[in-house]
Amino acid sequence: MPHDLVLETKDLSKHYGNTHALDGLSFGVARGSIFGFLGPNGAGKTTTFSILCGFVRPSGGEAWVLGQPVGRVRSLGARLSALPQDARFVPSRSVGDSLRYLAELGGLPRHRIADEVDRVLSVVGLKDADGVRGKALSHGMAKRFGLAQAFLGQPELVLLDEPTEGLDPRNAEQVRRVIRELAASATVVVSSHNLTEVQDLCDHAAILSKGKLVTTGSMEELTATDEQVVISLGPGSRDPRPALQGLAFIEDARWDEAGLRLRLDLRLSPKQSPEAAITEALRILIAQNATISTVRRGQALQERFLRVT
Amino acid sequence: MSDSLKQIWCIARFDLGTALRTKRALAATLLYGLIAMGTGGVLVWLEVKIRTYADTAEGLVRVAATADGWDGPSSLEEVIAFLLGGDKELAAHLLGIPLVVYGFFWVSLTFLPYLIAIVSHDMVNAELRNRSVRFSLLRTSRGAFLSGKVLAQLILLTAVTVISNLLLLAVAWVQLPAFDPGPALLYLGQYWIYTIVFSLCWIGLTALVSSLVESAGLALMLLFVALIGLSILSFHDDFGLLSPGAWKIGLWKPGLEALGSLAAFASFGAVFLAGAWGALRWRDL
Repeated sequence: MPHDLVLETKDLSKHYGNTHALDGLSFGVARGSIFGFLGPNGAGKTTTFSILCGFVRPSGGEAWVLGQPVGRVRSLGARLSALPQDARFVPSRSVGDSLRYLAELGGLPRHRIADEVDRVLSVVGLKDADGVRGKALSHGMAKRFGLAQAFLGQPELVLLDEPTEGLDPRNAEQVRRVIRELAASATVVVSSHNLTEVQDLCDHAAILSKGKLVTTGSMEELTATDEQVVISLGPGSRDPRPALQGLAFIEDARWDEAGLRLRLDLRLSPKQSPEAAITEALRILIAQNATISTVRRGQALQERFLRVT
Repeated sequence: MSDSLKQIWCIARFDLGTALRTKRALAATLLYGLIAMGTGGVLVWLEVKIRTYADTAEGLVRVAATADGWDGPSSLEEVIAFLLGGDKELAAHLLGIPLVVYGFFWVSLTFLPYLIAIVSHDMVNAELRNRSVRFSLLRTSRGAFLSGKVLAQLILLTAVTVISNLLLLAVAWVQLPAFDPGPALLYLGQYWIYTIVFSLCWIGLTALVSSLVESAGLALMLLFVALIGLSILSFHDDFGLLSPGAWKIGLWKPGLEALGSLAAFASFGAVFLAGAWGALRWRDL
């Protein structure tokens, strides 16, 4: 395992009878990154997390977490932290009790436990909910308390399985803010269905489908293409497509009236540079008195995701 | 204290706290305490009757012994030996112990495995079902997790049996005018230690079933089937010794035989616990 990788898998597989939840998965996560883990339902994201946390035994292949093989991840102690999907707090105990128990179990010194629990409860916006019992938690609260336990101590690697699923927009944004802050001192791996969120939050990502890795790379690499450009126009703009009809290199043009976004699919000849083509399109739009808000080359992660999965 | 021992103690304390909050500890204490007091009441009444009629009974036995053709017991000791399948040595040993003490011990050996099954059948699987075990196992090993759970049950049982034994002692002291609490306390202490080793065996079996089966109801049903099955097996001529039940009689006997039975129960407990650890170690959570 290279030193700059905090997590690596090689040909990792997991079979449940005839069902292949993971089928030869190989990828790595570099230290210090916020890594997105994407895939449709049943792609194998949760199974991968479960193997990396030591909850589930792989059927084949190898994986290392912070330099340790997955069979020995417990030796990492509090260096590894995670939000497991579907895990719930003990119903009859208050979440404060559970957090204090988990903090002590994780090796936090006793004199620091009360302050640390207060800190993580504040982080997830539940400072006044210390006494709420596990059985009384709504889905959103259970998720936030789950995040709170993942933020206990100072982990080096944090695995978050669907961290904002079921949260209202305000809480989801709060969690994203916390993840960004956490990334200052830890590597964070986030699995999510929310592609906009992953694109906004992560610097690297892997896309899974049917237990296999489809693609992985930096967010720029995943979304980069010379074949697409998205131009956002200023308020009051009308459909600019008639003005661009004469341009032979535009294969398709789609206009989003609500978002005032024009998406152009380009078909360039070998001699034609994308920069020249985009400049020419913009020149025509400006000549039509259109106001340009932003220009973005490449595709949205969502389009890449839909294309490869 | 090593990190693993600290974690085991941390898990046990959390589990004990949960048992107190869910009133499970209270229910177990009440149930076993009521058994102790009920048994104590009956045994005290019996002991009073026995003391009252002892001379008469022994006299009748002596009369019967002098009758022509009588080949039955000729003393109270032999009557007890007759009831114990002819074991005169054991009868002599028991005659020196207050009836209320060894009577309650018999009740404990009979009902404790079922009480443990009822109280502890979900010691592991409750956390497997709602997956809260994942929060713990991010921070500790499966072995420490299981050890903490077992330790909590053992502490709970220790507390319950101590309270029940003290209740029994109080009942006997109040109800029996000639009751001497000193020797009774010594015998109660000895049998209490036997009870804890005996219980370790059944806590091990309960941990094994609770680690194998996620459904609490199914685990309880399987435990009752196993307890009844092992009781039946203990009467088998060839394989009886493979059942813990076959070793119970040794706990009544003095000296090395009792130690042999204690070692057997401890061994059964160790085997069951090793099975529980294996089941938890190899399963996906």
